[in-house]
Amino acid sequence: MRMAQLIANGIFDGSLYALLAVGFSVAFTATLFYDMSIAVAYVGGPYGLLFLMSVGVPPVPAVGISVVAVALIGAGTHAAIYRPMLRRGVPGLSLMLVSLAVYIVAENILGIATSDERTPIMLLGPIRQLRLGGVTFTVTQLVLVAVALASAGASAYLVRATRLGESLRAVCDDPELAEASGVDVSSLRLVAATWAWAAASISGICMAMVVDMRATMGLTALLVAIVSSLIVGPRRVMWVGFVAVAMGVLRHVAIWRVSSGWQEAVLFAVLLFYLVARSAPRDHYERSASA
Amino acid sequence: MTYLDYLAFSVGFYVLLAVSLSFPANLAGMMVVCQAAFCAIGAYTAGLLVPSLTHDGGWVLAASIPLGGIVGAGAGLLISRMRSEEVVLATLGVQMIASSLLLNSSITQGPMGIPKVVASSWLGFETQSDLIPTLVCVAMAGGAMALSVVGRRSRWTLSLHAMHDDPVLVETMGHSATSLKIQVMALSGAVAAAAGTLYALKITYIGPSAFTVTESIMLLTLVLLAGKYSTTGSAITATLFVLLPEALRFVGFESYVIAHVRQIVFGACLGVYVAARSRNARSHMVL
Repeated sequence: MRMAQLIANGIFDGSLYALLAVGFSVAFTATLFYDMSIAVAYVGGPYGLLFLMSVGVPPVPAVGISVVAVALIGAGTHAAIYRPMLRRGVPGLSLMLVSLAVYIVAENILGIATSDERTPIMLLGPIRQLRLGGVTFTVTQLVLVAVALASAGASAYLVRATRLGESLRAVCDDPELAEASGVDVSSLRLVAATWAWAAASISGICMAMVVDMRATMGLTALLVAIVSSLIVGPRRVMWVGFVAVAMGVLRHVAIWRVSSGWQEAVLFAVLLFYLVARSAPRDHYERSASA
Repeated sequence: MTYLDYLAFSVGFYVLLAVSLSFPANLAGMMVVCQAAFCAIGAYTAGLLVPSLTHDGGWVLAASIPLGGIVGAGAGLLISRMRSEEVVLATLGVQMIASSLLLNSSITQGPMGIPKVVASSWLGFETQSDLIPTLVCVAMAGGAMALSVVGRRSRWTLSLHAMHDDPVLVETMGHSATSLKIQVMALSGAVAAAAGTLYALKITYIGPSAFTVTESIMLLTLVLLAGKYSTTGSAITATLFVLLPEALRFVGFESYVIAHVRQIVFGACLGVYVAARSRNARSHMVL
């Protein structure tokens, strides 16, 4: 029964990761670089919400305003910083380092603004517990899982089955060819970045409702999203969501054998194992090719 | 510990760490984000050896340097076949695993850390002076700098430069890129572990908060700001990294704000630097 509870907790965490990972994957499909600054949106969403509630805005409109504001900041960041670099064909590593710099600056500004304190968000009132079989969960968790999975599912559907998604996949395959075929690559990348920041802010808000938030929590969550995206690869956004849920479950099931403090180590061991395993076959192909 | 002693040690410590990271990052183009983990190996080696096995700082340093080298070589082997972005992600993973280990292992005493890491002798000479770690640290930083300047036209360094620019060409010329990467990571791990040991013996307390991913990211920032192939530049940025907060202290900022302002300044410099350098037509060569 304890295992069922751990899996249920894992699905909850994993669905929030899935939303972040799907957003990240949409941006990665369009831009083909690891945008570390998306972690800012994951933290900026809940802090924006907290600020709006502190000045008297009711919770539901505050969530909407916060998500829209973060998405607009994401669009502005992309337009001002990354778009000129992408146009010049700057390599992925440089873009990744610039996005890391954006993350460092934003995280520290938030750190100063919040005095490095952990802050809870109480949005849904007193927590009501439900029991199904031997598994206990809260109404908050159910609502958040539904919101996260619906948002992730909608994102995945848009990429898979709409004209916008088709253009996105074309840009991923060959940006020059897509541009020559009439796709406005710059605008599409802007839309993808805005989308990713909005998804990350929703994910961050959902997570902040169940755990105390702090300015540094974005990087770990984003790394889980990157691992999921790396394992599946660009374009297959739906599968990125599933892998992220699996990562959440793995993180909790690990407690079966080790203490909860090791949860993140387990996730990063998976990342490391995957990267090492992925680099090995390339060597094999290289050897085969040279032979 | 006097203020000048603290300042001299801090400059020496960060210069040593920056030079250790500049070997893989500036010379070989490997963006490693786990230097704080290598530093922790040296610090915790001191923390575990000093109370139980030896009180001699010299012997502790002699034990931690090869240990750091072995771990660095292991990390080098892991990342030797990876592309540049994958190296960043993999070493971030190594750093996160190391941070978890420091926080949760009973050997490292978890979040409480290890207190009273005091060396009562150095290579057999009895002394309780806390100036010794500062002197050793400054001397090692100077030595590492001098070695990198003297050896900048050496065959090994030029092979690293060539690997930075064109790894395929290096393989074609008969050098093993994998072997070069393992060697440079072993050197980097060994020097960072030495810095960690001296930190533990100077501060006499070690805890996981000193070896976080933020420290590793900031070190990479310092080294990247120094520019390609430049180890002396890394020493200059590391010195500025130590002196900037001291200047801010006179302005009247609170201590927690100073730490953040320092990271904002260096983070912004990194972003502007990389973005400006990538305007160059041969942008893939700038890092």
